[in-house]
Amino acid sequence: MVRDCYIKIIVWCLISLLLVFVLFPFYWMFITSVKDDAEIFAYTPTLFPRSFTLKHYVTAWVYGKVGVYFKNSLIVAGCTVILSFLVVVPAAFSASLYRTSGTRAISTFVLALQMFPGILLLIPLYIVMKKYQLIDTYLALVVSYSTFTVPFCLLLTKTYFDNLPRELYEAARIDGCSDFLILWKVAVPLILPGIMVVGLFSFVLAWCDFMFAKTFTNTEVTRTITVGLSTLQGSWTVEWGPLMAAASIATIPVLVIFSLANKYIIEGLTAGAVKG
Amino acid sequence: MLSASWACEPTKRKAQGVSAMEKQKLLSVGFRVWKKAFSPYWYFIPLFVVVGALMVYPLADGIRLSFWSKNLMYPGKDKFVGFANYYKLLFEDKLFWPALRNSIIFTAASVLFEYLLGLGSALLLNSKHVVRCKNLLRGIVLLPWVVPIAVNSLNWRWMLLPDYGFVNQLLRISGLGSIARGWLSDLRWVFPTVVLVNVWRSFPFYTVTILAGLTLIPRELYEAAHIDGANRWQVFRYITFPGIKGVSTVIVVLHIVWTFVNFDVIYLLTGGGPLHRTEVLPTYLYQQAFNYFKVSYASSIGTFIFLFLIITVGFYFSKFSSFYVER
Repeated sequence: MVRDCYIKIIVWCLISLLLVFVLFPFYWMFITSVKDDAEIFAYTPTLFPRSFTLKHYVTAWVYGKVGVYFKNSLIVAGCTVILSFLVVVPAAFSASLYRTSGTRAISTFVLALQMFPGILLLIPLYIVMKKYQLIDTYLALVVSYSTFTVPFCLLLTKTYFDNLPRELYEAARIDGCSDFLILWKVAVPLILPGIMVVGLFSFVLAWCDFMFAKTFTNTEVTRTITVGLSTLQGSWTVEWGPLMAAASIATIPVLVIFSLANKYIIEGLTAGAVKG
Repeated sequence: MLSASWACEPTKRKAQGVSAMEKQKLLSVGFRVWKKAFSPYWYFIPLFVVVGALMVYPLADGIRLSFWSKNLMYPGKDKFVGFANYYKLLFEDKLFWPALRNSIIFTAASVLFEYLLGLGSALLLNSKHVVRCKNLLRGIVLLPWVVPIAVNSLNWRWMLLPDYGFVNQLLRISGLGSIARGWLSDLRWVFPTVVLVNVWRSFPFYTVTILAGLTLIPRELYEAAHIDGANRWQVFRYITFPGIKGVSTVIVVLHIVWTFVNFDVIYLLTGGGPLHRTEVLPTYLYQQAFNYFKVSYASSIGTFIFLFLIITVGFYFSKFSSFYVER
């Protein structure tokens, strides 16, 4: 019993170490963003801010144009989610309903695409976008983001469809439903919570992208927040207060989504790897 | 079962000695059968369009480009050059081999440390002493992985700043001022630092996945081992580790690929510098394509990455072919 107690103490010490390691950069980001300039550049760092100011947030949002970038990111990520669903839901449904060798081969192929690196698509997509004058449009970003959200969404959505009892489909079929009606009236309402989680997660994926956004946007009009952070870093070399405020703003949507659906997202995320 | 009964109707009938009307009827039956056999695929059309236009075609086009000479600065002067790009890449380019070596070391070191850290933290969170707040802790640990890399690298650049960075200030306060340096500009230390940041960002994925694998191991196995008097190491060696071997294989292969092609982390932390010390293939490709506009030369780097990945992953799967059997 005493030995158990010691182990418990050791385990909690190690966990605290782990948490400090994981969380400290975020804590430091946040407190830097609310300190005033004198305190940020003080010779001895303060772990608990002595001053509190929101002025850096105003600077970042207005002068740094983080507001515009934030809006752009929201639009692009939202449209990516919608596009991915339009593509994925019918395909996942069909692959789950008709388990023929053909549909199985297709879904395996698309799952293999999950490992497919985006950097290989960068140059050819750039040439295509340039040809059709899509550089600096939301469409270019939405379309290129779907290359990584679609394989991921297909895997998860198909799992949700597969988990529905097949008797349900059979009953609907006997009552005279066409495939489309089964999908729309029976299957989709039942897996809606699952689909929401997939949507939230692909929103986060699209929110986090840097490479495609960096390549396909040149102006502030369509710049996303991740690219905005890196360009601000170039122009504001020493103004770490506003920079950290901008970084905090970019983190907020991700934090909100994860505090809402943390458990479900992790389950969905690990389901793929555990099953193989 | 169900799908078979829907898709297959009697297709073969005697086609001899039928009237025109029956022929018509047969044709329409044939059409219906064909339509039914094809019906699952109607729903795949959007997927085919997206995957074809955005992934398969660009990949093929990238490989084609690598055999051409194309510079975005001089449009209309494309010409076929055969293997010239590859020749230049492999035998004349002084930056390519160091970049490849950096990529390999970066990937190997990152995946190794990520796995060790991920395994350790997963075992920690799976301990019976933390059952109550396991979900919360798991969510917190996942944080570095879900936050945009742009945010993470900005945080680390701020903490690693030579003068005002928290790391150096902490070192100075604790009397280790001699170790303090510009972590991202020191030629010797920049590479380990970049690996550290990458490990910090990626290990949570290992943690949650291995944790999910750990919870699938049946309790009875541990009880049986306990009764048989197995010690901790034996329990780990013969029960825990075999239980998570499948998951481990999947995430390690995934991360070998993801790390090898990772552009964001290094580009945002150091941009490949100082003096190409942290240049990896993806940043080198980006530089060639979008700073010098040599898109076809960059495509040959891309094709090289692609081949390299196929060979590595293929080797891995052929060696651990039990992976397929388990599936």
